[in-house]
Amino acid sequence: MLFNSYEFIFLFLPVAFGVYFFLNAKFSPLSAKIWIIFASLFFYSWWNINYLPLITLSILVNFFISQALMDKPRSKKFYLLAGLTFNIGLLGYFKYMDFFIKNLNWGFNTDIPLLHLALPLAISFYTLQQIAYLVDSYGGLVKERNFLDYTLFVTFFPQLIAGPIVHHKEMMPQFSSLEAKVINYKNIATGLLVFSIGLFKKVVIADTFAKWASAGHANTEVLNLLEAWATSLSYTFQLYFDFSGYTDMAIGIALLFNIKLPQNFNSPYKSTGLIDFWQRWHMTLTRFITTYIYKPFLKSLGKISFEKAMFATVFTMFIAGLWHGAAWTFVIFGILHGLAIAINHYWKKTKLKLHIWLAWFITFNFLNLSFVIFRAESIEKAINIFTAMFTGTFILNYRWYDKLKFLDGHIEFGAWMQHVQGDKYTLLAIIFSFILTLGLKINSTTIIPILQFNKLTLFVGTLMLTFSLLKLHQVSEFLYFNF
Amino acid sequence: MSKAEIFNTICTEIKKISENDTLNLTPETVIEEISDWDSLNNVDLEMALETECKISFEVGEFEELTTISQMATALEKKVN
Repeated sequence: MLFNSYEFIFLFLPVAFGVYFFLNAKFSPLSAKIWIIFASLFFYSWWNINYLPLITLSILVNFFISQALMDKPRSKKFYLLAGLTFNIGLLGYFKYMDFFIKNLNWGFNTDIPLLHLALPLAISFYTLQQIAYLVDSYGGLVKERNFLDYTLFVTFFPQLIAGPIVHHKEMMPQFSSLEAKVINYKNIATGLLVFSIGLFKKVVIADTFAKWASAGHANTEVLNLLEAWATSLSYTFQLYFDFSGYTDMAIGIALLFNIKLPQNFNSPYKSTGLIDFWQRWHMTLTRFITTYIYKPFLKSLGKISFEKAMFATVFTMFIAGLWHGAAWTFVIFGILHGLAIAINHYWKKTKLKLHIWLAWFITFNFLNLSFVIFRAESIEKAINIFTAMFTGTFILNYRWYDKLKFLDGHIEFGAWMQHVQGDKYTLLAIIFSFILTLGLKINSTTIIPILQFNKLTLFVGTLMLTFSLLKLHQVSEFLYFNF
Repeated sequence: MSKAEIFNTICTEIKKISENDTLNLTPETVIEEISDWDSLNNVDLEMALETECKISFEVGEFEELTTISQMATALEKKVN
């Protein structure tokens, strides 16, 4: 079930919410907890019930191993290894097996048939959360051992499919706290507003850009210069509004249940460097890879040096790239970001200061170019887009010919946005998105503590919600559901 | 090591890593809010403290410590 669907907004969510607080008030917190786990698994199974046994198995095995890690300290190395093998093995089998076979066939000229496995929804997300739980159990950092709280930590439907990637330390105490069990009107109002912001970002902004980005990526051979830039910028904005919109909806829904999910975005397109960017973009993934991949890997290299740290950075970003999907485009995306972060660190060491606008300009253009690779169906198609962006024909709208006649002979006039199915609104949407992402002092997270519940908030919230609901008939999935 | 010594060690290492002697550090200082602080600085600090105090942190343990005071308390427990 998608957050941006009538059945979720008008059926699932009100029922899940109503029954949860009814059970808390009339029966027991335990029954409410069981209800929300059931609701979460129902929500998950709505897509494809075939993957329900897999997530159940993953929860059971991980909980069992985590208990063994705490109860049998003598054999904890064995249990940790078994747990990591299980999780990475499961992810590897479902997500990377065909990619591995394809490369094997290519490299050794073999003909091993592909498995054609569909990626089980949310596996990349729930696997990471459980790996963190295991590693922390190994280190003696886990204090909560309740099975129901653990199951809820993995399956809680607002964040189950595509994050934020939560940490047991911030979630499990909330599930066992009494405060979560009483209706809190301020949380409901805030949650609904943040949900509306997210829904608007997704269905009004991201889905509008999706049309142009998809058309451009389907026609890479024939793009002119402006079409290529429109394609790349449309995807850059689509990705941000899609993913941060999903996150806002998740944070908003969780707030209805008095649960605070961690922040995942902090105006990332305002970044003035790549280090800065990863502290603002998919922040919970950055937190996970820094703590559980980068640091342990760097420490395993022995005495720390700048060069080793940079090597560890590139390696970690390589893994982060691969985490997004089994394709060389994601590997290249990850390595490029790793190298860019390393260059950023070198630059920091020189103590030279770039003008803030120049730093932003370099960062944003790097991001925009790297997202072309991230989105492209193949490396060749990404190269097509790059070629068009820098050496394509510059064609202006033929409708502007009368006003810009003096340019005739220097510039071509014609069908300027045909291959991205765009028009002047593409240009306007891009300008509008630059203003939204760069010009506003607040964002959907920083607004939460300072929210004033007045007529203006009510008006803006209702407007966004109504606008979004009117567009819900053309339902589209979230980009991060594929990762 | 006394708590005061531990506090001083943490401050010295932070100043060394950020290459800024003029930083005004108090027990309430939030490490991540130090100007220009990044994840590399954080690993540097973790490893420097491990060497200086001859202790070791578990994976994920250091991330829990957000202020200098929390860091000092955790180190004090480990050292003594």
